Amino acid sequence: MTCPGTEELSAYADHMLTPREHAQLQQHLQGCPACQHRIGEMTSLQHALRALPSPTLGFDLASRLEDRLRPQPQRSPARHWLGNWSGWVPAGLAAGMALASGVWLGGLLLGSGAVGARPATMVRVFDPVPPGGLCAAAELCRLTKGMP
Amino acid sequence: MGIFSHLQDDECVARAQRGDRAAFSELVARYQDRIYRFLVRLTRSQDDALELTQETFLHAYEALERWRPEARFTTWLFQIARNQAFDWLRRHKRVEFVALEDDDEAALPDPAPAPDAALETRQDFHALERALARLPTEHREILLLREIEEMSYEEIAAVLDIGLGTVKSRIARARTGLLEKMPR
Repeated sequence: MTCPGTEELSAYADHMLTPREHAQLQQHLQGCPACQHRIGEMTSLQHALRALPSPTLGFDLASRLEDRLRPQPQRSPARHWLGNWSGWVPAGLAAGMALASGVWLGGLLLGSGAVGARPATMVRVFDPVPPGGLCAAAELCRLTKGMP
Repeated sequence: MGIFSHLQDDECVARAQRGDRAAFSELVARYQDRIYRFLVRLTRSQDDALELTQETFLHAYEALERWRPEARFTTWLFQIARNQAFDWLRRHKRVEFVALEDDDEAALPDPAPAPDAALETRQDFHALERALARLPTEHREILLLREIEEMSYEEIAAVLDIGLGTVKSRIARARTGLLEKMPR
């Protein structure tokens, strides 16, 4: 058997070969000092890297981040029956009240106009004959008086 | 011991997704040192690694809504940390190998104070850290994930978003490269 490549030796060191490949390579290693040496180097490197002292932060990072974590948006399992329209309820109520008060005030104005005399200002503007005045042409006076 | 220390990662994430910040703090406590040591060796700067560790957890918190239980929290978090580090390396144009000067030794983690008898071990550690720092970033990160973080090939494939075959070949090349850089 020819010597396996570095990739196979590396995978062997990681126990990542199939059982059959592993057995074949193991058999090769028994008679190949060069590959034994190579595997030895790789496993020594593994142990050395795992033994390296690790730097640590040395403080509680979570407490430092606390102020920078914004609250997560909540997931709502079911929507309210009003759905997205619920935000419009106060505005709708206000608009309804405004409309009702407008109708009421308008009714007051119209109602008082129906029973009372026409305001003098209106008469002056639209009536060609001032109140108490004499009519210069009877046809004209009758026409304007008859107008709605 | 936190109040959520008995919970699995995915249970903590589920609680954090519902707005429980204490559950997220538990995850930070569990992984802050692993993420920090990974970033120290990727960036070769303790100050920048600290900043990037904070950014990693802030990004994770912002992205919690998108986490799904199918993904392992550890690999998801390392993916975020790795992206943070590569963005930083690109911004600082340090993706390619930059020779370590003597001053840069301060950036390497300092082992515990050693008596004279342990001086040789300390020098060995230092030589290994220097050799690791001289590797191209792609080789360095895959060895860190495999040897220091002890991740499986499948987990490494998920973190680096590459196929299993690439993981296998890249680990082999990284090992060869590191052995070549080690003093004889």
